[in-house]
This record gives sequence, C-alpha cells and structure tokens, in this order.
Amino acid sequence: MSRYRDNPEAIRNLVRETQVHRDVYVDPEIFALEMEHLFANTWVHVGHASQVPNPGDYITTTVGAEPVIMVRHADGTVKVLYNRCPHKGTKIAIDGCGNTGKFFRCPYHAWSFRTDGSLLAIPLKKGYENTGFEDSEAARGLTPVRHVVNYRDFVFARLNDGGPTFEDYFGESLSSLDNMIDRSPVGKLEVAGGVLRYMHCCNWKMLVENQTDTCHPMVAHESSAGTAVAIWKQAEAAGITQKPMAVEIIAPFMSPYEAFENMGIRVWDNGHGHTGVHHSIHSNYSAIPGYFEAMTGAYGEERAKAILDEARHNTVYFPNVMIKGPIQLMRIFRPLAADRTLVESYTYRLVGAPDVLLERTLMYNRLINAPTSIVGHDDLEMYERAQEGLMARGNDWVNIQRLYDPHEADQPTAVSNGTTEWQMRNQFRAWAKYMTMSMEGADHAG
Amino acid sequence: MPTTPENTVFDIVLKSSGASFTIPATKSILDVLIEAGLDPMYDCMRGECGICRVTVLEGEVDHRDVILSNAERASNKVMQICVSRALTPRLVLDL
Repeated sequence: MSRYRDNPEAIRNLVRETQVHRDVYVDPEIFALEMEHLFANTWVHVGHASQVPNPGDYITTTVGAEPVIMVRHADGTVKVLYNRCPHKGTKIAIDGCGNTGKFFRCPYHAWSFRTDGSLLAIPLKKGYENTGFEDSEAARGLTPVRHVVNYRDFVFARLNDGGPTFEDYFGESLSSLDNMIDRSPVGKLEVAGGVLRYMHCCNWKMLVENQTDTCHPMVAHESSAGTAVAIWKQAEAAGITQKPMAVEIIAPFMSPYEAFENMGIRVWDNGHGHTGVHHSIHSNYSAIPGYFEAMTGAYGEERAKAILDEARHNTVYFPNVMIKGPIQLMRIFRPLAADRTLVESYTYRLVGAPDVLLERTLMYNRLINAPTSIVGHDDLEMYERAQEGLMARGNDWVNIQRLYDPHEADQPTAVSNGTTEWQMRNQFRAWAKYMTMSMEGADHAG
Repeated sequence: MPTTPENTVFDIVLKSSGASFTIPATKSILDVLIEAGLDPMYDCMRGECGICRVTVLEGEVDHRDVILSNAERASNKVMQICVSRALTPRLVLDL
C-alpha cells in the first residue's frame, strides 16, 4: 500500500518542529520519493571539472538514483548526460572514468553519440528510412541534463525543470566553497589523491546530520581520538616536543563541549549550514613554510589573512554534500537504499600552494574518512545501530530539539551556539519543502 | 555474388586546408588521413557503423559501405571514407 506517494500532507507530517518520524530513515517508499522528488528538485553535486581536463574525458556517477556521465565536450564545456542509450537503455559508459575520444559508442548495437549527446550514427541506418525515426525520442541521442552549472569548476545539476535557480538555491552558502577555492593562490583546485569509498548500512541523512552534530565527537570518538591524546601525553612526558601531523589532526576531536559551543553554527536557507563560525577543530594547525607568502603575494596581506582565518569546520550543501574548506576535501553521501549509503571522500590540491598542504589533506582523509580510518568507523557503528534501533516501534520519533528556538523558521540565516541542532532542523525543513514541491498538484487531487 | 572491384589510384582534396593526398590502391582514404597525422572520426573501418561519413563536394563516389541508403548513395553528397573510393580521378571532401 502506498502511504506517501501523491500525499504531500503525509510527508510534511513526518517533520515536526523538533522531531522527525522514523519513516524518513527506514521507509523504502520515502526513499523512492526522495530519489524522484528531493534529488530532482535540488542542485546536486556531480563532479569537479579537473576530473575531465581534456575533450572526451568523462566520469560516470549518479544524481540521486539516476546514472549520469559528466564529460568534457569538444568545445571545452562540461556536459552532464543521462547514462542511458536512447535505443534499449544500456548504460553507455561503465567505467568510473576514462576518455571516450570524439564520441561514445554503445556496446550493444554500436549506436554512436557526440560528447554533447547528439546522435552521430547508427549501423544499418537505412532500416529506419520511412519509419518516422527522426521524430522519435531515440533520434535525439543521449538525453542531456538541462540544468547544469559549473561554479568555479564544481559542477552541479538539477534534474527537474522546476525548482530554484542555482543562485537562489545556494545563496550566501557559496562563501564556504569560495573560501576553499580561494585558499589556492591562483584560485584553482584539482582533484588529487583518488577517492575513498566507504559503504554504510544506514540512511544517507544520518551522515548528513552528523556533519553538524557537535555533541558526539568527545563521546563516540573517545576510543580513537582519546587514545591518540593519551599517547601524545606520554610522548610529551618523555620529552618529545615536535607534535606529529596525525596528532594535530586527531586530538581536536576530543575538544570539550565548551569548545564546540563556542565555535558556533551558521544556518542558511534551503538546508545549508556550517559548524566552526568563530574557530574550529581546524584552527590550530601548524603553518606550512612558504604558503602564507604565496597567498600574500597573490591576494595582499589583508585578504590572505581573511581567507586563511576562516576555519569553517563542516559545511553542508543540502542535500548530500559536505566540504571542509581548511582541509580541502568533500564528502558525498550517495543514497543507494533506505538503509544503504556509499560515502565518497574527494581531496583537492591547492594549485600553486606547497605540496605539504596536499599531504595534510590526504592524511586527514586517511585518518578520519577512510574505510581503514580509526575515526570513521566510530561513526559507522552509531549510524548502523541507529538504523537497526529505528526498527523498534515503541517510539516513532527521532529528537532534534537541542537549543530549539520557536522563531527559527522565520530566520533563513542565523548564527547560533555551536551545539545547537538547528542545522538538522534546517535540513529537515528543506527536506519537506523539496520533497513536496513537485507533488503540489496532488494536494488538490483529493 | 559481386566481384571484388578493382582499386584505382585517385586524389582527394580537403576543403578546409586545401591539402591533397594520393590514395594508392592498397589503402583507404581513412588510412591515408590517419597516416598523415590527421584526426578523422571513425570506428568500425568496415563501412558499417556510419561514423566516418564525410560530405563530398566534388567528384563521383564508388560506394562500398553497407550503411548509406540508396537515396544517399545516389545523391553523391556523402561517403564512408573507411571503405568507399572514387570513380573520378579526384574527390573534394568537406574535411
């Protein structure tokens, strides 16, 4: 029985001011509707232009549940095409990345397509003469995603024709992306160091919520970060003074509640927000020789300081992306099923900056986000326990009430105490909006 | 069963550059263009896939592909350069 399809009222009722119904995490119908509506109405990150530097270079990925190809076209622009032959539906590209040359060729019947998707040739084409083929869907070739924006090499797509413009959707939240990019003296990033993929048996939204959950690190990560801190104390007592990069990265996870309260959280409209408004766990890294000089040379001292003084911790780009500007990494939470999420962690080289910065970025990714990390599986354990625990029927609601302000829904942008769950509530307000905005006709159906 | 046609030697001229090439009996137009360091679009090299189709501006084509329709062949305006050749001493191609 369908409880939620064409029933926006029922979907909105899952999100209350301070709690959300467990169905948002466990119900397969809700998941299907998220793929159909939420991931089609919002601007979803597709990839980085540096992954496809030359004409014919492509990556394959998904927008929500839909397979797409991001490819560099002959004219230098980046195109996003649905990865589906217009003939029988076969995925055209199957590798994660590659160079297709001047055209894609379907491996099934050798239909071929230019890198903008347009049909190039069909073997034995005379068989379509006088059949009206030119008016068919197939004759249009690979369907391009129509709404694509390449923002400073970060490529986003919106699948539906309806929905907000890119600028309206992200608004001031682009300042976090800008800050990460501006940390390059030439204002340019390149994907570097590969991608770490980590499967999670839980709902994708648990991961997104956790990015601004500042009351869990000192608890869930005590076994890993706490141990690192204890070992470093012993080393200091033994007279070692040079703090290793790994300790610099892990130790702040054990910061006390007060530190997280004071770091602050900022929310923006449409479900975006970030931790680390005033300072963050990334504030006290050692200076890298030569870097500040390169930044000052490029931007002048005042602007260079302003860029580097931003220590934004985690910025969530709703629905399923998080970036760490000071560390130059992005995590994408790919929804595969109500109880399955693939986490991809991408790292970036700051073009024109010393290589040690990339070393730190990669070390951070290995220590914190890798499947072999000593921190990431602390979180995984909590998500998977929650996914199992939410099957209990005794309580249908998940609580997101910490530091709730009854007037917050009227404030699209605000800065608050760093342990608030406002950003989680902000995400769910956006969730309800973008889940139902393309169902509205059904409201009156009746 | 059709007899294998004799391959004749002919010249091609590329409209964009004005460059001309002699196509020997043992090579296709496509072979010669690739050897010359050009970057034509092609795939099957058997006259089947249709990708190497080129617009013909002058000369008469000896069609040997299996993709073009009878009307397209008769128009003498397109050819598949991986297998098809020339009936005249010279072809001018929109390349």
